[in-house]
Amino acid sequence: MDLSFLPKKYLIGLGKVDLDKLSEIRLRVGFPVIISYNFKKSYLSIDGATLFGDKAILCQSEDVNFIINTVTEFSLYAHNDRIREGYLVTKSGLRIGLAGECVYDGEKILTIKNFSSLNIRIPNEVFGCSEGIFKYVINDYTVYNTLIISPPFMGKTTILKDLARNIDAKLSIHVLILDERGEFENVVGENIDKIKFSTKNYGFNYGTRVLSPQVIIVDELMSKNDWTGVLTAKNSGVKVVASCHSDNIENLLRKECFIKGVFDRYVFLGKNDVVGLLDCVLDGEFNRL
Amino acid sequence: MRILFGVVSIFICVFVAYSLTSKYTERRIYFKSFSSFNKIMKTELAFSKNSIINIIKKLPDDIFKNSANWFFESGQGDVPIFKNCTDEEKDFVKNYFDTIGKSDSLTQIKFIESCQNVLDEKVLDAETNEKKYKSLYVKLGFFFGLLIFIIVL
Repeated sequence: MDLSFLPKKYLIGLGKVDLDKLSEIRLRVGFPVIISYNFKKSYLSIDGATLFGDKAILCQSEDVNFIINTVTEFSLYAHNDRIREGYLVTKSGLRIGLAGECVYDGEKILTIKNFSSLNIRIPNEVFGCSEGIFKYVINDYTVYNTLIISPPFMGKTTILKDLARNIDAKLSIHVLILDERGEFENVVGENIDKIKFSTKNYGFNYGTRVLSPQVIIVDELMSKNDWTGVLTAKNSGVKVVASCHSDNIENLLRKECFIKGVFDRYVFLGKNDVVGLLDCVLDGEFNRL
Repeated sequence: MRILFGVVSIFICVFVAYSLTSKYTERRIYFKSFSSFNKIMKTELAFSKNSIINIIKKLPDDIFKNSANWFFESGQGDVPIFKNCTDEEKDFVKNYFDTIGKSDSLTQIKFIESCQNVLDEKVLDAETNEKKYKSLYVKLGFFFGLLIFIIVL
């Protein structure tokens, strides 16, 4: 994992922790650096993970600027489309969530400046983590239109990545990944195409037309547009495996963007708040399987 | 022997005088490359949006590239070229590198356009100075060498 975009003192501290157990680094200017270590909140000190905030490295605005400058290679303009969406992606595919001052031109957001917080997500590759749900997703030699649902930080993207690998390896059908945020960097395979950094809607339309996928995999359906894109793909005969934030079927149905009848399988994760643990699987009519 | 010594003196004096004008040549090269870089940046911002680091990598090896690298990479020691710049020019260069790349394309393009006029003036000024002082220094060197030649004779 390439964390070389972090200031030296952070790297010294991180050098003393098991990076496989690290899932998040949170930086807030003027406050101790918080890490999610072994899925528990800890602080980052020069000596590694600690439970004591007073021993932690204090995040300074220079640290935040250093990270932004290193990741963007001093070229914010080249990353502004993503900055406007509130995130950056490092060369190795780590996503950095940004908080700062939004600059508007009328209704349109121009950029974000004076960054005050960063949330660095460390994706953990868990090979084989989708085995438990694969049998619910598979339908002869193709897959069901499947929606993977959980609250944030419950392993949806990790499961999607592994599902993509599984579909590629076991079904050997053409998979198109709409990688809006560059998080599927390490997911490669002989049947896998990837459209990076495009909007989902563009990816659905363009991808379906020119790449002829059999399955489209897409992370985090958020807006009505995203759902419409899924419907377009479905109506074109392309299967879709997607993820979405929610915690139960009631809240999912309450979502303004939700379109009934799009998906044939609803996979809920995060049973007992355990990351990646399968809770239940529902069919298209919301019957438990 | 005296004639030979005199002739050598003239050559040495002219060479020394010519060498003393190198700061004007360096300044001309610096601002000319700076101006080119500024124009490249404008194109990059409007179209391909390569990172500054990559753009600088592709520049020819000269004093401007060293100076730009100093701002983005080393930041240690003295800024190359600063010994040949006025305080106003130093502020301009520092401000340029503090601002370039640090915002969205539209803001950057406006900034670059505002800098281009200043850079054009600097290039013109540097070229005029180089011509003026190079010729003056060489003449002075020649006359000084001639003086030595006459004294020796």
